Amino acid sequence: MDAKQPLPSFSKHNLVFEKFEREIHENFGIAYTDHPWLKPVRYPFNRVDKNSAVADYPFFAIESEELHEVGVGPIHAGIIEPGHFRFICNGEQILHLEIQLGYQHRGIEQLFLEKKKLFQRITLTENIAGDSVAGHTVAFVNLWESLCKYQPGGDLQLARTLALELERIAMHTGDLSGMCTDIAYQLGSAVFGRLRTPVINYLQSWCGNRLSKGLIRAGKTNFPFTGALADELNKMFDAYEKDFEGISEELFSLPSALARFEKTGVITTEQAATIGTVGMSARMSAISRDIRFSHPHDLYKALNHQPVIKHHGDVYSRAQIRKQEINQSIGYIRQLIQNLPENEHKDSLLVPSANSFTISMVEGWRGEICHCAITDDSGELILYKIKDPSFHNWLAVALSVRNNEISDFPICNKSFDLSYCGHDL
Amino acid sequence: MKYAILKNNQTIPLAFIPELDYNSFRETIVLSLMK
Repeated sequence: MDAKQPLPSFSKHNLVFEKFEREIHENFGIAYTDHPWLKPVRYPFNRVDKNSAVADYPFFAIESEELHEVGVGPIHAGIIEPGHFRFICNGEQILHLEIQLGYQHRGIEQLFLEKKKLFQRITLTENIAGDSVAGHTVAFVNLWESLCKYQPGGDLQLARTLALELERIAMHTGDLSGMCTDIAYQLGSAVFGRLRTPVINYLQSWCGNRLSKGLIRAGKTNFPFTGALADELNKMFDAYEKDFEGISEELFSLPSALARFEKTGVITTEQAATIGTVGMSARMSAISRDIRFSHPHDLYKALNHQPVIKHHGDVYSRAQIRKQEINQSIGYIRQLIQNLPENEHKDSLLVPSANSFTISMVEGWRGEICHCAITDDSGELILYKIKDPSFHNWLAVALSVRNNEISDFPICNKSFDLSYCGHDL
Repeated sequence: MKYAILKNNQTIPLAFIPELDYNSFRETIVLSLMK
């Protein structure tokens, strides 16, 4: 079709499409009629309008002598990823926040087409977002094995399920530490912070890398999960749970902490449904969105997963979800490693199917990760699309701070802990 | 409305996706994922 021909927008019927249409407009030049505002998304290297630049981003502005703008980033006080936050404030109260990203764009989707070797592609996948290595690699290998008509054995499915849940535990623990930091609760910050370490150190003892890089491979594993590793995992959780429950009890019963958490950074169920949040950002507002439940893969079918749902949409809900999902994930892991499957030696991967379309979804610790691939008549990739859960959820951060004090922005932001590089690709 | 139904991690031939031509997109939902 002719890219110059404008097309009607879906956004006026359903706002969930809003950012996807902006992305298509930026990547392919297709103009949409009736779209609210076709702003840049991530300034990809291969964008159609090369004159569009990060410095020229069209922020929403309000002219008033009573209001002022506060710009935060892209360089931040803490060592976090780059992104720009433009607040419009009346004194201490935030009226509007606009989040501009794109600083972490690396051209990963294009590189998937240029790099032809499987090892190069899995390496790219591992580096989409360093805190979601397991999430993205499981999505990729499941997609690739489907394209190659390969059915992984029980041992590979176990490893992938364990990796996903260990990543969830590690990141949720780290986030609880970060949330304590942002309300100046030093005990929680220190204890949750150090509790993340044995979890990621376990991944290092399993596969040599604390973020699980090298662990997940299509059609095989270089690091089989053994009985000795299962014993080590149980011992690690025995020590972890004692301190985790102790500090959780402290945090969730501390009036000064609850005063900062409760009714702060609220997203209503209606808002979350309208903008199409996924994962934790949906479940904290009473929306049940969890790929482990809706489209189970690997060993999730056997686990019969039930999502943790909270109803208030505030920072407290997001903290509670993390705590309960940690408990749930530890339970799943202990259950799964009671009976280890045999290491199956299966045939090698075939070449990818020609003229095919594949979609793969995984519930990363933030939410739904989606990878799509289209192949040509020789089985080569002609399109590889990656969708991180943060692509949906950044707008929720912007909405959550409205009418809050600007001093509550850090705790609101941290309570979501979205990915900049996962968004920017 | 035409649509293709597939499961998570399923590969389907492109020929099963009715009309990737965007001009008829409103009559076509490319994918619906089922459990």
